[in-house]
Amino acid sequence: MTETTVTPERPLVVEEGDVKPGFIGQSVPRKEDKRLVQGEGVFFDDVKRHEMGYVHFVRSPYAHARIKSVDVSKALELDGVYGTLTGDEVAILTDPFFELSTPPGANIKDYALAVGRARHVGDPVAAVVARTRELARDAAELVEVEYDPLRHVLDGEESLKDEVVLHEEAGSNTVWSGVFDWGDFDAALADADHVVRIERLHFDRFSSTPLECSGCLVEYNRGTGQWTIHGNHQMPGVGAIWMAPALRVGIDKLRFVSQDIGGGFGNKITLHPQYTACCLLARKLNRPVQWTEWRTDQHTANTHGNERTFLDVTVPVKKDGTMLGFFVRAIDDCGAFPRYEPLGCIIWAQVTPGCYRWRNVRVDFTQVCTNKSPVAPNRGYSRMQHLWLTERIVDIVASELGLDPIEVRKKNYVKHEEFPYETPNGCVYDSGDYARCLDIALDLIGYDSLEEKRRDAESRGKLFGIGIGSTLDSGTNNFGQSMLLNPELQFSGNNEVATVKLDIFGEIVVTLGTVPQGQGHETTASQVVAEILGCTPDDVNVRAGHDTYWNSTAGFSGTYASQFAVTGLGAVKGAADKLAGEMKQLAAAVFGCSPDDIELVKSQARIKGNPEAALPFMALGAILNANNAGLPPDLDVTLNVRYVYRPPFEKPDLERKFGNLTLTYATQIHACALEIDPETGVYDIVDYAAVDDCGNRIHPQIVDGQVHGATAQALGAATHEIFTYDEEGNLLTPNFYDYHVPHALDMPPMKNGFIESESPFTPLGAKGMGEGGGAGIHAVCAALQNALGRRGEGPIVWRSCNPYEGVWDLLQKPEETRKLVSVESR
Amino acid sequence: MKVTGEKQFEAPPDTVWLVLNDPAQMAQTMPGVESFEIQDDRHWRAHVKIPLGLGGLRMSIDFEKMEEREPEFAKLHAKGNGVGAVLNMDTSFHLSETDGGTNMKWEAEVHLLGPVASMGQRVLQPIVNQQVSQVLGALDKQVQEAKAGPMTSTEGP
Amino acid sequence: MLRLSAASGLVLATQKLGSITGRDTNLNAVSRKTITIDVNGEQYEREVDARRLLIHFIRDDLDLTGSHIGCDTGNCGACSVLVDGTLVKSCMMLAVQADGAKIETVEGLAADGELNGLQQAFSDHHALQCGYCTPGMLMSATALLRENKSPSEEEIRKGIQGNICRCTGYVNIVEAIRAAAQ
Repeated sequence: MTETTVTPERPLVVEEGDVKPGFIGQSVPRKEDKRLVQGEGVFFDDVKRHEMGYVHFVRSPYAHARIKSVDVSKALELDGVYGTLTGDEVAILTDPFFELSTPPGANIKDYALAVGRARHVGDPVAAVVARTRELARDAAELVEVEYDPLRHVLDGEESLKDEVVLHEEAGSNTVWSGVFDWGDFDAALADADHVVRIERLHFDRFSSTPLECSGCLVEYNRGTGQWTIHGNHQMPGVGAIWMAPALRVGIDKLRFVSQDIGGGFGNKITLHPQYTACCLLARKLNRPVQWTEWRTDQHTANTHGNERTFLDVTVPVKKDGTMLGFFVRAIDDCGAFPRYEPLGCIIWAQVTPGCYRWRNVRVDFTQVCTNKSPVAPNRGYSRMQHLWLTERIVDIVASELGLDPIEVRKKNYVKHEEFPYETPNGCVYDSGDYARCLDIALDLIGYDSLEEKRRDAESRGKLFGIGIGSTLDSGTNNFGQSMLLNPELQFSGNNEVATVKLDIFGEIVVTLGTVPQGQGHETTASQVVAEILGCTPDDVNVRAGHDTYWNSTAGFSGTYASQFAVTGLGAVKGAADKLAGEMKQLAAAVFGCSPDDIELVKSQARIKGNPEAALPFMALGAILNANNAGLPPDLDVTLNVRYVYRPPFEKPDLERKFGNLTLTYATQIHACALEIDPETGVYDIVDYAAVDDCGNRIHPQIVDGQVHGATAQALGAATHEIFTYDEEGNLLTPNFYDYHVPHALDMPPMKNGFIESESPFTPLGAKGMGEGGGAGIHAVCAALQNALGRRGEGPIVWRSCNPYEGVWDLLQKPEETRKLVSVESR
Repeated sequence: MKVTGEKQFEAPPDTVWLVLNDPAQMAQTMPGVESFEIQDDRHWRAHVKIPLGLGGLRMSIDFEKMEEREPEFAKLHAKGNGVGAVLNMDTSFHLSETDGGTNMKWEAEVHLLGPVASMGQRVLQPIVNQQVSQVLGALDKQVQEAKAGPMTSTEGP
Repeated sequence: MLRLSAASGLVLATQKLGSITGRDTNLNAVSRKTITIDVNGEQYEREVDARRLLIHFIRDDLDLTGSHIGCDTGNCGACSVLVDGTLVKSCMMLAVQADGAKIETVEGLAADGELNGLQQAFSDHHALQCGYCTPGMLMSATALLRENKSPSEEEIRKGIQGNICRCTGYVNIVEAIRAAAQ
């Protein structure tokens, strides 16, 4: 039944220890470091403009309220205040932002400021601009807003009832709803020896909270109608697609510039409302305006990761532990405004069966609005939530049926020899070896001495548990998946751009379309270029940051979705290859030989086998740019190359909801050992191992760094990072005072391992791996379950975030969670 | 959050009623009142400073008498604004005659919004409890004075 | 109270701390003060609002943008600097409180563009990704190493406990500080 249309050309697994020639695969010193360790980086808040005004937003204290009036007169009287902006003005000057969903979600009206209603605590209602940051705050307090509080809804399931509707134009809180049905779940159910039912699982709301808050400095040129935005938007291509029609201007009127960004993790993708407000202010006040988000505003109003409830999970299992698939009813809570949603409603389908060979999957998926902060594609976006579900399924099934969770995984994992593997909905897992990664993780964590560790812990009165978290990081999106949600959308495929040129003095200059936030793009790009052009990374100048005016951006440019190693470096490789070709052509024309006789070595173009006949790069650059008389008229060489990388995608089959949605699948398998104090619920992670496989590692140190960082974020999310609300809709963890992110003392001892399963589909055999997939969350939940439960008894770990008091609750009232699970054996 | 309570006064219901319904006297029972203005017999505004860690939370609170049945029942609505805090409160009290005095049953539904509410969640209950006991203590004193001396007309501070 | 000095055109005012309320248009101007601060060996004399935070003074008034702001509650450590040799979160201090003090920021670590041992170790060990927490980390590490020339891993982790990093998981940061100590 499966049709695999691509055959691999190269071996799928690279053994550890292979030394590659050139700079690819080496941990060369990072170009970004020199400026960053000296505090010489340029983050948007470092940029200043003469006479700029500082923006402060007036935000709703109500979770849901009608806005009766906004009176800015007292604010305007304050000396030093330059001006204000209210929702009424925004409604006149702009059109609502483009919505991705089908009706009713399509009818939502989303503006730069709240118009008519505030829909979550922190929803910006007005903006004030003043001479100093402090005055802007003073002035904001003088803005008088009259609210008429409305009933609010803070729970996804409650919201489904549409008793409290957030968006009257939509008439319903449901943003999108649909059923996905692949394989034959009913037959699988009939064929099962056991059916395990899990009534409810919940993936909690949290976010990666980048240390640098969002913001921008916006300048408006009255003569040309041009806006320049110095900011930290990590996907400006898409930002412009939202902002330009809203502002009623052409896309080229919005220039996005950034150099250094202090972390993004998906939190800086939906900044278009605030940016649009700043654009309007810059134009209205005829001066540059600067907005820096407060930490409290970031947590309250911009943005959270998707919160998802999984209901009626049904898993058919054979006697021998083979799982045949699953059914789930998922409710995704996207907060007050969808914005990038409902893409989250399909993106999980990139990893429908997780790491497993399950062929029959049925998912009933609904997304709703609630009066909470809007969500954005936070690290792991939508796949992490779904992969957590698959891991919980495996662990709970194993626990209930008395099976070894390690053996069950190995039995159900996609097997090494099955790659490239087509999933039930047509996604192609390119390469991998999950069982081998698992073995390495178990070895690193000392699995053989597990029983000894358990006895030792128990002798000290502790409960001991070990758990596995397997995850995939699917990278390089086919945006055609959006058509599966809304056939009217005209998005498909993907792209990224790079330019490489050889300057008059022989300098190699590269510009990228991406928007790095610490992933080392300048460095890895220079490695690729150096290898192709036969020079060193130090000889390659990669312009720092992003500028839409460099002519190296395309529709999907940005840094998100674990794709730079494929799309960004694919573009760099394409451009460098083309430039190399031109350099050889030029040298050949000068030497009077064939381009095939030319090689690029040590920053020279020389005739193979005749190192004396060599042109240094400087000569090539000078000849073409300044000394080109006498060159053959048909020599089509500019030494300034722009290349657009396009991954090989088809539009998906809308009828069957079938097709390849992502190009690469990196693996991370983590193992976690922990001890719980049953008196208090406090637990300690005593050992931890993380194994990754991202195909060819371009820069090993950078890959390891991403694994460390992803692990730390996942461990935070597993133990104490959660966004909870009180009954009024106030966020109880609105800043780092209450929202605890791991610090250096919180990190467990970590061991790392890796393999490299080259991707057959990408220009460099590498896979994107920046997100990680939340393996730490899956592993901790599994370890807690292992420590707390016994076959058919004990509590069930049903939430992704398990703080100490939550574990204590599980210990105190096991029957409450125990009843979430039932097993039907035939 | 909801707060309820009961209190006994050694004074007749008429006396307690007059104290409760006289804005000037009520102002003296409320903790932290720095000034107040009477708009009419159903509306008044108080400027208060509620102790909240260092310094205090300053608020302007508008009171509106929604309903009353002299001398046994009254319902008030309060709406307050301060830096980082919005307060909405509905409170009502019932008076009944007892042997030698008055029984007052009261309840309040308090909604606190804004960053102060988010960050102050943990200490909110104790502060509310403290405020309530202060009000009741001051009320007692007011009622004693009213019982003792002639009932004077309103004189604002 | 409001006093107008017609001659100088300056508005001098006094106001109780914390008495800025939500609905008062008679907002008095905040008092200003002239302060002298030594930063990385250079003397600066500036007039500032009494309420200006030290971190804003360093970043906005002195244009030393190496120290960063990551939160509004003094939890993240991105603004860490040394004030008279003591590690301080400069968002938790007013500029006027630093009058007469000697401040060291990340800009003072390298000499003539030559990275010091700690900075080099950070780069060698990939102890930074986005670089936003890095200046604060470097100042905390500097303070630690001045006090303790060969800290254990536990002591290193404790020394940077007040610095949040979201990118690295701290693994390489601890390695870098350990390497720099040797």
